Amino acid sequence: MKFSKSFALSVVCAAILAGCGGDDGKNGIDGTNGADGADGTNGVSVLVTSADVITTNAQHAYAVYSDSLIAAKALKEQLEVFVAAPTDENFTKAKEAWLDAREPYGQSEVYRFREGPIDALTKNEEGSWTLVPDEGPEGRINAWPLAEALIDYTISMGGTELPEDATNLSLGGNLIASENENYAAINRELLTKVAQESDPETVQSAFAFGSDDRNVRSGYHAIEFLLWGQDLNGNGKYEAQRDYTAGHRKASDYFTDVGTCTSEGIVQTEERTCTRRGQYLLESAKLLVEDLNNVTDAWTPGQGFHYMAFTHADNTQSALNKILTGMGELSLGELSAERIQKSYDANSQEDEHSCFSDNTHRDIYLNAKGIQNTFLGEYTRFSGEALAGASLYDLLVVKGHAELANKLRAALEDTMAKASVIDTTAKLGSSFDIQIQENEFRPAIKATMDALAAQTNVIEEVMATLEVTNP
Amino acid sequence: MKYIFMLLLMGCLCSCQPFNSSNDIPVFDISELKPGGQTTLEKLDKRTYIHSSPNLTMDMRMNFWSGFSFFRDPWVAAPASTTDRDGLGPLFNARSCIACHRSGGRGKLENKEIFKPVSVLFRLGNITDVNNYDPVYGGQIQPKAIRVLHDDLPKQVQGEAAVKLQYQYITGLFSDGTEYQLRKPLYELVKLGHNPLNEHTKVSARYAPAVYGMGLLDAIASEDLLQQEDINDENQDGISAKYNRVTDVELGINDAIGRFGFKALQPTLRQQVAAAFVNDIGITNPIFKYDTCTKSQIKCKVASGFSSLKGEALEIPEKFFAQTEYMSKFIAVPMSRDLKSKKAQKGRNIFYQLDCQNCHQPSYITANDYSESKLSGQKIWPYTDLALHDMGPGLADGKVEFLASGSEWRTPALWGIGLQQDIQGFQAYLHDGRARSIEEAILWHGGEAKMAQQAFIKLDKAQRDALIFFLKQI
Repeated sequence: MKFSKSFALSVVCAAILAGCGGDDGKNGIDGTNGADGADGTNGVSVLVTSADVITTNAQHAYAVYSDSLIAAKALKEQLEVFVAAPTDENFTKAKEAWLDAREPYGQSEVYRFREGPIDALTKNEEGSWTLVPDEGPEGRINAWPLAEALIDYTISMGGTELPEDATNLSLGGNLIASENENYAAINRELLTKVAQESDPETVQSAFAFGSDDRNVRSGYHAIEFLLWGQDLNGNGKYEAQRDYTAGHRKASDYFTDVGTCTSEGIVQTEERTCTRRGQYLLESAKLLVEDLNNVTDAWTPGQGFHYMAFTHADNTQSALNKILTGMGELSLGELSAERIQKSYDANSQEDEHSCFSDNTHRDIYLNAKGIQNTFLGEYTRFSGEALAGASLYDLLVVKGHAELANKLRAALEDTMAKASVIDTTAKLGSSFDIQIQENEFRPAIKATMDALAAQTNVIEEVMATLEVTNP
Repeated sequence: MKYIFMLLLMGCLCSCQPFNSSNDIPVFDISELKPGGQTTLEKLDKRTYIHSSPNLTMDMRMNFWSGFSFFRDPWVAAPASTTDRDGLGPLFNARSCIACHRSGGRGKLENKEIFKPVSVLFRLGNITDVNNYDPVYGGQIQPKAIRVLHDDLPKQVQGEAAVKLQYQYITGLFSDGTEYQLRKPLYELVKLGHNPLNEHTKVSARYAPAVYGMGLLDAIASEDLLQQEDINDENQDGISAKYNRVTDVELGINDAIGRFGFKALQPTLRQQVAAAFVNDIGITNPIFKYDTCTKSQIKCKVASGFSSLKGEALEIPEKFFAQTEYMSKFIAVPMSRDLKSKKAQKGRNIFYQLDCQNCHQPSYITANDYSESKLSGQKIWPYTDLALHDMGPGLADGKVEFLASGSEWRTPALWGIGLQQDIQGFQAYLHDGRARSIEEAILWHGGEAKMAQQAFIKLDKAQRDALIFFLKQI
């Protein structure tokens, strides 16, 4: 894979030089330097084309999914170490690996909502990869709210609002503790199964039919839950007034020596439960790596089937539409409305994205960052390597819409400034679930939602200007 | 225009006389291109119907998408470790709205012989009395049940039934000699959870409708609808438009105009959404505050008690219910497609010549005083009068719903139906999804629509194609 940094630089030069004479770049390095060069067409650079922007976008998709995959593999290895030797130190490392894995993935979400591999990758009847709307792996990778009560022990968080008492009632027992023969093996099937008519009633009840009717029990958030547990207060209770702590799961939930395995903070006689919990953890990680691997493959420059289709010369308008649609949909409907407004309005912990680990501030920041990355044609890899390519910003300038280019750049910067407040507040100890309930912090959250809405307006203006609203 | 019309008229008088000559064809109106007025979605998306109306402000759009999450996310059995998303069941058809209204359209149809239906639900009723639901199973079969472990409940709640489906095939001929084939679904409830159904109970299959444009239908003034009422066919056009009179739970009245549901059982979109929550997902809400267990479903009642009321706690409180209702109001109607083409215009003429518009009333201007200003005063083209019509024995289900008889159905809207194939990947029309094409759907029309259906049979292939082409563009 090649990321042309010098190319990006020349784009910037060309944009600056446009209109004031100089080499238009069409002859490459054979062109004449600086003011001595000939003007481009009408004095405007023609260097950055739609195709360049699309190629950059596709290459950066590969980079961000590769990073997600690398980090998920690292997480999987760390989990294997932890399950084999469940020490506090290994437990901490496993949790850190999970947090690390979220960093690239959060930035990849701008590639959603555009019928790309993450939402649509599946195998057809002949067994080859294809895209079918809503059949992709995203639901297995990052869906939430998780059906955590179906996976492992929980206490009712509704205790203060609803009359149920979890000690009396459970969702048919959870899969990890279950001794039901239908759930004997903890494997891919258990994590992804969709119920069939031929299944027993209990299995149907647990797994339901069809992807729209699912109980989420795999992906990042399943792993998160199995590492942190429910985000209860420090006293182990669910209370209306939340404290700053994340979930309090203990490493001893993975102890397999006789008489050491814990659930709900106490030693259970059954080591089997802890063994199965470890299996569930590893199986979730395995599935995550597998799914991310497939998505990454589809984006492989020069050979991935989606990369080839997306960058094909015939698909320029639809590809630009997809890039901007992903930016717009993530900005408003997903990030601002569903991921922020809903928990903000409802003061609902359940609706925050990473509720077990209290990492929602990063989800918000990284999602917004991904949108900005796309517009600027930039992405800083997990390794620290900064990638830059032809950007939508450049394209707008080249097409004579410098003002609009700056307008969107400013809108995105404004959002990042606002999202940074949420991020920093959380890093200083007040996690997102505290921020939504404290009047002191709520204005910053509202400001982020408003900034996201404002940037969506400009994104739509860009779509109209580039005439890609209806490709 | 007049001249062209005369020519057409003469043409058919001489040949086959399939057309009713009494009506004028309205001049094509530019507003037909935007059937939802300013709320029309002005881009084509072949993936989903779910888009917010473009005339909403950013704040409104955010509310729309917040509401959408309640439409999309599956509900779980109470108590999960959630405060606001549990309460599924005890009995239910689906875990989420979107499971049946896939992509905002109609759901997936099953191909199996015996199945627990998701997108098709089965209402139970009686030929004579609207309040006479099945004494054991209630008003609707809920094939699924939550699984609950509790000392008070040694045995699990059972789903009420599964369904056995067979098709009966019917063939017929168009006047030009072309054969057509219709399929009639024969449903049988099997694996019943309790005793057999009451001998008088009628079972009516209902295939989840598409959900875009509902707010606009809600916004049509009642007076504008009632003006179309013609219960005794006093204008002698063979069509008797009757409006259902139903209970508005919140207003506490029994003579509200019914507009939503296949027999116009619900007076408002708000009540329709609430009824779907309680009946289909088992979610108690501000309008329907109790789960639907009948007296004889003891386990259901016990299980419901675990998650139901103490004080005012509803499984979906007003705040979130209102967001879901809001979202349901503002799912945008797609713009028309190739409506100005010659072929579509030819089909449009035929639509009016066959008098389809007598029930599929093309256009309204929504009420100026509707509660949501973005939906008010809009010139819309839904192609429905929202009234009840006798559709003949072929479609009759024998189930009474207030004034709706066993053979009466409410005219469904036609806007956007041409996108079914693209968005859903298949076509299925009518109340139980039996029609595999628009052509089949028209051929099923009987009763008051028999004349129009007969006229359709007399069309030649090019004319039939043109009519269907038109319907796919609106």
